[in-house]
Amino acid sequence: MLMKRTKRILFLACTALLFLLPGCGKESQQGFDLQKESDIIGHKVAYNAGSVYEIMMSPRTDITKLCFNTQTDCIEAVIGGQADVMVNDDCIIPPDEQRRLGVRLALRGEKNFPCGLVFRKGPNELREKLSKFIDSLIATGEMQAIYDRWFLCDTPSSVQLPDMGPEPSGEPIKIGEAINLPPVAFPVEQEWRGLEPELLQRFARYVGRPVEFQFYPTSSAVPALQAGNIDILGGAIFITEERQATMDFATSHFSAHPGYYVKDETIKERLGFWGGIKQAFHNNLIVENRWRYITGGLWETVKIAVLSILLGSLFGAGICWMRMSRRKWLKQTAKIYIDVMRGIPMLVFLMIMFYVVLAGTGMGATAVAVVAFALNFAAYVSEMFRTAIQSVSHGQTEAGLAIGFTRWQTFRYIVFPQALKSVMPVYKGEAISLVKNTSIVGYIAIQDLTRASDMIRNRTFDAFFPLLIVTIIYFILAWLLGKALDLCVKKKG
Amino acid sequence: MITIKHLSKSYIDPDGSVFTVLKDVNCEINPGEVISIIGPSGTGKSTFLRAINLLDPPTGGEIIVDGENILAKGYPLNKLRQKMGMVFQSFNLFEHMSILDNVTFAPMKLRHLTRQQAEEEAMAMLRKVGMAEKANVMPSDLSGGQKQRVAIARCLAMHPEVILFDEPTSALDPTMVGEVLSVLRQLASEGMTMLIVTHEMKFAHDVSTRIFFMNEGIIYEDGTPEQIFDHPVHSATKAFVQRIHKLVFEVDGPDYDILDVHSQMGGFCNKYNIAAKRDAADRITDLMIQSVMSTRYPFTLRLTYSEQYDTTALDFMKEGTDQSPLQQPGCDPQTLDTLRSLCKEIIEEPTKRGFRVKFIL
Repeated sequence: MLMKRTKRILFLACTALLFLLPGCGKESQQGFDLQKESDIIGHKVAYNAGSVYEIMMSPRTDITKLCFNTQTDCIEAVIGGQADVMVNDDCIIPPDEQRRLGVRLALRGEKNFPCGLVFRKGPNELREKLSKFIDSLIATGEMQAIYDRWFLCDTPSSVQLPDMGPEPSGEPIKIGEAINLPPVAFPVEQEWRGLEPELLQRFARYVGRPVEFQFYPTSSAVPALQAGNIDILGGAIFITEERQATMDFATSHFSAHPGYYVKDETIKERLGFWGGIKQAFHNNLIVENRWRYITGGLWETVKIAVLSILLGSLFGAGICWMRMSRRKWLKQTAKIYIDVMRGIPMLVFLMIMFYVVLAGTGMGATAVAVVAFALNFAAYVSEMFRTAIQSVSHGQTEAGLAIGFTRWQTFRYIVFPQALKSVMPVYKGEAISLVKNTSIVGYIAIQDLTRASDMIRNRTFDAFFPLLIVTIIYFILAWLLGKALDLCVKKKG
Repeated sequence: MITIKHLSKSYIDPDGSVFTVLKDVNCEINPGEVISIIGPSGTGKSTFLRAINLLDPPTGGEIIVDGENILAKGYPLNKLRQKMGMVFQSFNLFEHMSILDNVTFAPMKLRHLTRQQAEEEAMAMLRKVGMAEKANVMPSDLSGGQKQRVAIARCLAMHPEVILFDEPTSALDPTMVGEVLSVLRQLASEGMTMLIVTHEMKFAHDVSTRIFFMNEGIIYEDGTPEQIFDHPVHSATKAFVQRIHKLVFEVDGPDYDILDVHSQMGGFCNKYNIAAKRDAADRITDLMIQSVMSTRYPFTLRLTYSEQYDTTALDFMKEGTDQSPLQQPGCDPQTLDTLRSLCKEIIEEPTKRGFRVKFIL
C-alpha cells in the first residue's frame, strides 16, 4: 500500500518536473545583436547534423560549435540559452512561428543554395519532363508567383492550395517528402501543401497522372528512392556535387539562403505556466486537427504490436517444437535461426526486410513490419517456451501417458497449462518490450505513434509536449497489454 | 491376462557400449493376483514394470495382453494404458489441478463422464483412500503419503483391470509408509490385480499371492510368499530375503594379519547392531586358529548376520576334505568344551567342495 502511494507520488513529481524543465533556461530578454555574418565569431552556434550548415561550420575554429540531430533541438538550444545563434535555412521558421517561440531571423546569409527534386540515377523520362516543366514556369514567371505565395507571407501554414482544376486519374507518381515544414511542404490532414506540393500538383496536370505524397524521414528517404518505393524525392534538398554523383536532380525550383536565428523574448507572447501548457496543448493537438496524427499513429502501433505478438507467438511455438525435436536437422535449423535473429539489431533487420528481402513483393510497409517483428519475437519467445516446457517435470508427462492420454493430449492438458504459468512473467516482459520497439517503424515510413510525435514536433518546434503525450500513451499501452495477458492466463487457469 | 515372453531391454551408452537391464523375462499374470516384485537395487524391477505399459519400451520379446501383442506396430497404446493404471514413486499428481480435478480429469476426458458423474465417482474413490476432505486442496499442500493416496484414487477412477505400483512407498517418510500400505492392503483384499515393486518385505510377505524375485535382469525365482521367504531355492534369493550380510577372510597361512580380522569383525558387529556377539566371535576365532586350524591352512573364515532372523554365525571352511576338524586328533576335549561354551550351537557339515564348521553365536 505504502509502496503504491510512494510510486504514485514519484510519478507525479517526475511529470511535474518534465513540465517545468523547459521554463528553466536562463532568461535574457534579447538575443545578441547580429548585423553581419562575421558577428558570430566567438559565439555558440547551433546547426543540424547532416545539413550543408554542418559542412559550412565544422571546419571553423573561431566559433563554439553545437551540432544537433534535428532543427527542433537547435531551436530548443537557442531558446534555452545553450546556443547564441542557430543557422539553418532562412525559410525554416515562418514569421508566425518565430513570434510564438521567441526566436527571430536576425540575418540572411550571402550564400545561395539551389534546391532540386531528386530522381534515381540514370536516364528518366519523368525527370526530363519535370525539368522542362519547371523551365517553362520560370520563363513565364509562374515559378516566382508560387514562391511568393508560400514564402512571402506571415503564416504559410494557413495558405491554401490554389484551384488547379480536377486531379487526373491513372497510375500515381509516388512522391516522398523528407520534411514536414511550411512553406516548403507540409501535410494538413490528408492534403499536402506548400511550394513543392503545389509545383508537383501542377506537374501532375501537365503529365496527366495523379501524385501521391508520403512522408519519409531523411534517413530512409534515399534507400526508399533507390528501392523504387518512391519515384520523386522532395524536401528542399540542396543540389550538391556529392549528391549528384549518386542521384539525379530536376532543374532547381527554388533557392534557400542561410538564416541566422537568435533568441528574442521581446517578440514572444507572454503566457505564464498554465497559459503555456494551454497553448502547447492547443498548438500540438488542436491546430489543423493534429491529434489525428496521434490517433492514427496509435492505431498503427497497436495494429503492428498485436499482430506481431500473435503471429510471433505462433511462429515461436513452431520454432520451439523444432528446437525440441529429436530430428537433428530440425533442431539445428531452429538453433541457427534463433542465434541469427538474436544477433541482428531489430532496426537493421527491419530495414533489410523492407528495402531488400520483401522489396519486390508489393507488401505494404505495415505488413513488412508485422512480419519482421513477428520473426524477431518468435526467436526470443521460442526459447522461453522451451525452458518453460522443460521446467515441467518429466513425471507429469509420464503420469499423463500412463493414465491413457495420447502424447498430444498429455501436452495439451498437462504440460502446456503448467508451462504457460511459468512462462507468463517473461513472456509479458517480451511482449511489452515489443510494443516499445515498434517505435522504430518510422524508418520504413510508417506513421506510428513515435513518428506522429515527430510530425507534430517538426511543425510546432515543441521538443517536449508531443513526446510527453506519446510517452504516456506508450505507458498506458504497455500496462493494458500486461493486464490483458494476465486476464488470458486467469481464464485458462 | 498378461503373458510376457523373452522380454529384454538394453541401452546403448553414448560411448557405444551396450548396457543390458532386462535379459530374458518370462511370466504370466492372472486376474486377481497380487504380485510383489522384489530384488536388489539395479536388477531391473522398475524397468520391468515400466516396460509392461511401454513407458520404457522394451527392446525385445513379447507382451501379450488379452491375446494381443502390445508391441505390435499400431497397437492403441493409450487404450491399453486406460485399463492398466500406474502409481509412481514420485506421485506425479497434476500440479496445476486441485485434488478433485486430479481424480475427475481423466474420466471426463477419456471415459466421457459428465462433470457430475465424475465428481460423484471421484468423491467415492477419495473416501476410499481417506482423502475426501482434501478434495479442494492443491497437491502442493499435501504430505507425501496423502499425495500417494490421491494418486491411487486417480488411478482407480479409470476403473483399471490391473495396477502397476512402482515403489509406491520409497519416497515417503517412514511415518507415512503405513497409510499407503494399508490402502494397498485394502485393494488387494478386494481382488484388484496388482504388480508392486517394493522394498517392504513384511508387506510383500503378508499381502502378495505371488513373489517375483528379480536378479541379474531375469525373474530369478517365482513363487508363493512361503516358498520365497521361508524355503528359497537359490542362495541369492535366500541372501536377499533373509538380508544376510557377510564378512569373509581367506586365511592362507600363519602370517595372516589376525589383528586386522579382529578389527574388521568389530566394525561389522557395530554396523549391524550385534556388538554383544563380538567377544564370542573374537575368542572362537583365536581359539580355532591357535588349535584345530593351525595345521589346516589355507581355510576360509566367514562371519554372517541374517537381518531377517537376527542370527549371527561364524564359519570355518576347509576345501578338499570331508572330515570335521573338530573330530580329528589334535582337538582335545577341553578346547571343544570351551568352544561349546562360547556359542549356542556347533554345526559340522560337509559341503560341495569340503567341510564346514558353523558356530551359531
